Amino acid sequence: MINFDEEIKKFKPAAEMNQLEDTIYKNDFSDVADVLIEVMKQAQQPPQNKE
Amino acid sequence: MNCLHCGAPVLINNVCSECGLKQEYLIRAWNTSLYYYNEGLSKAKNRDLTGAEEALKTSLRYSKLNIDARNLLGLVYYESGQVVEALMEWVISSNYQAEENPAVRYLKLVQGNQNKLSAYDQAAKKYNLTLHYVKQKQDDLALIQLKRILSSNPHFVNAYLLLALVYMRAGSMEKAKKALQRVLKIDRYNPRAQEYLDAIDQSEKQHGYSSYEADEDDASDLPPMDADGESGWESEEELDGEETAKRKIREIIERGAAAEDVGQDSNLEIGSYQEIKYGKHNVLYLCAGLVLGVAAMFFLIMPNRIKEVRNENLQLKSSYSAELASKNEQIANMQEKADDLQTKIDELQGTIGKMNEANNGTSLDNNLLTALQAYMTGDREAAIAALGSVDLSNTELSESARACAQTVVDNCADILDPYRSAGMTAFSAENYAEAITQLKVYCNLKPDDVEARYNLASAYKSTGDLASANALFDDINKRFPDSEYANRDENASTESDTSGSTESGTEAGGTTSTEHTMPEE
Repeated sequence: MINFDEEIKKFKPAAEMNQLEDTIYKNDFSDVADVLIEVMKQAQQPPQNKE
Repeated sequence: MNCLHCGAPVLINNVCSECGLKQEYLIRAWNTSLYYYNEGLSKAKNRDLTGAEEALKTSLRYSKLNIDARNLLGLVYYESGQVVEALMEWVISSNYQAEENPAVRYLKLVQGNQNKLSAYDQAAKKYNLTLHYVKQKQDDLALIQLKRILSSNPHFVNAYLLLALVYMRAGSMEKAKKALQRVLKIDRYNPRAQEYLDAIDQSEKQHGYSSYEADEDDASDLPPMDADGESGWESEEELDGEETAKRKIREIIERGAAAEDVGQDSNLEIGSYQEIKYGKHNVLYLCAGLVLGVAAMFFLIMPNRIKEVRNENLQLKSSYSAELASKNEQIANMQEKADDLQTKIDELQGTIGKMNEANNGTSLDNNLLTALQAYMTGDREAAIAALGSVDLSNTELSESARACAQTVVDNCADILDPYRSAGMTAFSAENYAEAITQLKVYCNLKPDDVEARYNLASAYKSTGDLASANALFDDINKRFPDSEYANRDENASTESDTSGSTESGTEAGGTTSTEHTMPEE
């Protein structure tokens, strides 16, 4: 049987028009190319000295 | 060859000269992205919107430059009623590729109909409010809001799901099932809708069909799904569900899922922005309302207003007329009183005149009696002195009194002559006061002596008593018109009018006295 309270928690508020700009900025996720560039940057950094 | 990520030239070792990425990796990522795009497209064709959404999101994770995947994701959002999310994807897509991108046209079409866009926004706000109601277990308010939401956005999948949940909580399983079937018509494999339907089926099996209410009139609870001819819930049930779903997915794909097939002439219908020109209608309604308002004002309001103003003017006029009549009556009464008072004043003045005449007569009689008494006792000087104030030329003197006084004067002529000589001497010596005293007695008792009378008048004139002087001059002119003294002082009256000062009168008198003392003889 369905637990109504739990089901209702799954519903998220709908995006409104005045939130469109914020939604666009927050949607800037990374794809594979971004991940690769980040990895390369980290690889180019000199290794930290371990004492 | 240029880099797939940044567009810079690729070196011989297949590494980008700008970003340093190996093109091999980027090509693999792009191929994977295309794979998931194709999967998403396939699911969208089968109207599995949830599955298509997941596949397209994965495709974008591999390459966010996959414009087709992003545009299709926007369409999937739009079809499931999530308009803001659809706009977001199309905005990002148009930023990545501004030219030859169907997303630009989608945005124009959607944003070109501000009324519908506003309706979608209101539906989203009401949906958020409804979530609050449902959490607060205010199901009645939630149901009202959800019906409004679905009437303005009939593809809002989440709203249908929430509506079904509310119905299930209220025990209206048939209504919940119909709402869920609506969801499955939009999103055929929606997992949440399937889960709810399974739960309803299990519950029905446990309790039997008879335990639930028969919602025969539920069709009216849900709005028609599409405005393009697809009718409401009951008629759609008669259709083959699979055929309907296929047709809808075909429409989506034809609209723009396969981006390369989308052109300017395609029959893309996003919303009803082209079918109903709300703006034009609003302007027409506004103009018609204005015309009707003005006409109503002229034909209904203005005549009554004019009538009221006329009535007010008539009332004002009548009140002023009544006030004017009362004022006129008051003026007539006051005029009558004034006439009465004037009559009384005239009567009183007449009485006063008679009393003055009586007083004068008494004074004359007293002087005459005193003179007679003195004459009879032999005191002739006293008799002349008493008679001196009586003017024998006075017409008010009775004839008997005049004769009596004349007798006394004739018998006392020797006493009277010194008055004349003394007066003349004083006049010659310019002692006008003494001259007046002496000559006045003489002239009263000898009114026919023109020279003495003329000198007395000149003395009066010299002292400034112009009234007495003029009276004497007039008397001379009247009684002795042929004498040399007549008309010698015609300017005396004029001088009396113009000369107000004693000094000027004295000066004139001096000149005149010189002339009078040396008459032309």
